Amino acid sequence: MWRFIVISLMLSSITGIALNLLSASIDRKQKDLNSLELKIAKQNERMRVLKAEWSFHTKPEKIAELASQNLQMSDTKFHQIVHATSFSLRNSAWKMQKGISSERLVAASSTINLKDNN
Amino acid sequence: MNPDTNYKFEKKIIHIARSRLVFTLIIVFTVFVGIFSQLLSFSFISDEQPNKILQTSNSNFRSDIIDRNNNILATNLPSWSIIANPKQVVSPIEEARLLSEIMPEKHENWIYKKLTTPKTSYVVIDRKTSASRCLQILNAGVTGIHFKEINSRVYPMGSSASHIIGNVNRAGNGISGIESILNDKLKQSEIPIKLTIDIRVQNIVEKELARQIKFFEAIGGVGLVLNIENGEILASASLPSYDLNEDIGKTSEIQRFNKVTFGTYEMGSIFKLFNTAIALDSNKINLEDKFDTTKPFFIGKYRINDFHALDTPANISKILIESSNIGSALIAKEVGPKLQKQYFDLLGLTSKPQLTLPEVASPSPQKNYQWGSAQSLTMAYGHGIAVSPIQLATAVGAVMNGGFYIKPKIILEGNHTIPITVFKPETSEVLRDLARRIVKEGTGKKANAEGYYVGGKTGTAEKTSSSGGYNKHSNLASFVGIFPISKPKYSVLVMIDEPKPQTKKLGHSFTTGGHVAAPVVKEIISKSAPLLNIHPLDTNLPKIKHVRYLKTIKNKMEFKNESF
Repeated sequence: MWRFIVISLMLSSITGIALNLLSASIDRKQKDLNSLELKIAKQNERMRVLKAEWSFHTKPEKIAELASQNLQMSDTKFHQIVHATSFSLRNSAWKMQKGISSERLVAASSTINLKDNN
Repeated sequence: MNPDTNYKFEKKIIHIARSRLVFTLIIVFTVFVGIFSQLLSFSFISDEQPNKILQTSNSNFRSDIIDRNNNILATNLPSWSIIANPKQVVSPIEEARLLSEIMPEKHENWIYKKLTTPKTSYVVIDRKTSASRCLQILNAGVTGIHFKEINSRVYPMGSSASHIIGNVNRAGNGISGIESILNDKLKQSEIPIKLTIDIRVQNIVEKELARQIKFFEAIGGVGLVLNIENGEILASASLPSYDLNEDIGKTSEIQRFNKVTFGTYEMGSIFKLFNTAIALDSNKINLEDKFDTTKPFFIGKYRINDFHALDTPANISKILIESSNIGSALIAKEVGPKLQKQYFDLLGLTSKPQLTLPEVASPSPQKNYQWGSAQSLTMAYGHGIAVSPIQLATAVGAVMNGGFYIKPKIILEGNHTIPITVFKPETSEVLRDLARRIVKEGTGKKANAEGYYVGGKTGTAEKTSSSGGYNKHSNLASFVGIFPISKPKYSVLVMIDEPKPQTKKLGHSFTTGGHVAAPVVKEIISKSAPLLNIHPLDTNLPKIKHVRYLKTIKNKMEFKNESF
């Protein structure tokens, strides 16, 4: 009987120690997880700051000012925009696959019917 | 005692001793295991408070507000408060000098007073400052200064769309605009609130409006770009405005006032569009009917005049193109007040607009009031009825977009509202044609943006004076433009408050909508149309009636037909 008790105690002790080690390992993992979450939170916060900075530095008025100063660019005028059909198209592979050719596109554009209603 | 009995006794004693030994062993072993496991557990105890920092930062969370292109309009960023403990300050004069060098916006004397505040150990020097400034103060070795990390609301666009975005108070609760009306949603959800505003168009509107306000020495103005196909507000500017990053206490009430949604004004002749549309739609008159606009029209002793008198009787087109008050009153007489009110109700001109903003005004008069014949005549040309600019732009949209009233909206996501049919498509088509003619040959020539089909209507209204009646020297000059008029998509409303005559600069003293507001609309359209994907059309060319274009449907390109 006492042998059984001693063996049981030994087993329970080993199990206890194993569980304890497991618990410690979980704690360690939790600690690592917390540390990672903190890092993620800090990176997210950093990203928020960067996004806000990006928004600030790409404000339309700022971009317009810089473009005007450094690139001598101004607002788009209507005559700078042309219709796609003004360009001659190359017969690239994708167009051929879809059965689209510059001839067909030009034919399509010629159906634009211009009539004054004003 | 015989040997047998003795043996049994000894055996019993040994058994008892062994049992006691085992029992003691169990106790000792159990105690040992307990102590050992406890000792073992001590070495693994986590020294970290789980996620305390995360919890702290999440408690002040407030989601972002973004524009339709995902540009950040409002966000939360970590910042620091600078606090002083006067009891710990060693040399207040020297510390005040050092601090004012780091914080040039704070006067040295003001800092000195703060650092020498008696009977306190907590004085706020700066409520919100950057980490770099805190570092500078630390490096300078200023005594008695402490830093407190806070989560502050930052608005990267500054004053742009300030009335729409709104503000938060020191506790982080919204007090105006979207910040206020969606306060709970912003605090609870991590998903950003996406507005219909396009910050690029908003910037163009604000810039052009400010330029004209300055030129005409006006006291303020309104600029609005509305998608009349779906009710989305792309730009809403009310000037003067204020920088959202500044202390709200330092701004004036005039700056904080959102004229677009919270101001109601007698908008003048723009109402002639509604008057004409109602008359045509209800078949009370037709395009050929002529009215005697050569002499003033009297309502009792009240006289209705025209700014430019017409010397021959005019039809409905001429009345609208020349913006005749007399003609409009005569048309309204045919329509009658009851029918006029029915249409005004449908156009949302008599009820408070349902906008996701706290600052929304009710018009005057309201839905439950039936006006009489005399008032209906003045309402025909926009007098005796006060509406907000957003109401006006929406109603004009309903006239131009085929006759559908579409509720304006400021939040991009959400349910699409069901359009209310107000006018017949034919009525809308006639009005589009007339609006185009107003810009081509009428009072709105200065709004004719080269390359784009613009239609519109001018409006010049005298402001009411504090002593009663109207003030002849203070105008509201407005213009509503629609483009492209061949297939209307956007309405642009500009209103300039009290423009002053600029005779020296311009050679004339006109402060009408056609001279003051129309050029702003032209600039807004010219500059924003390329951003809005509106292809320019040569205005000298005839109207495009039919186009064919390629469209990708399920990865398959197909030719599509579309008629205007």
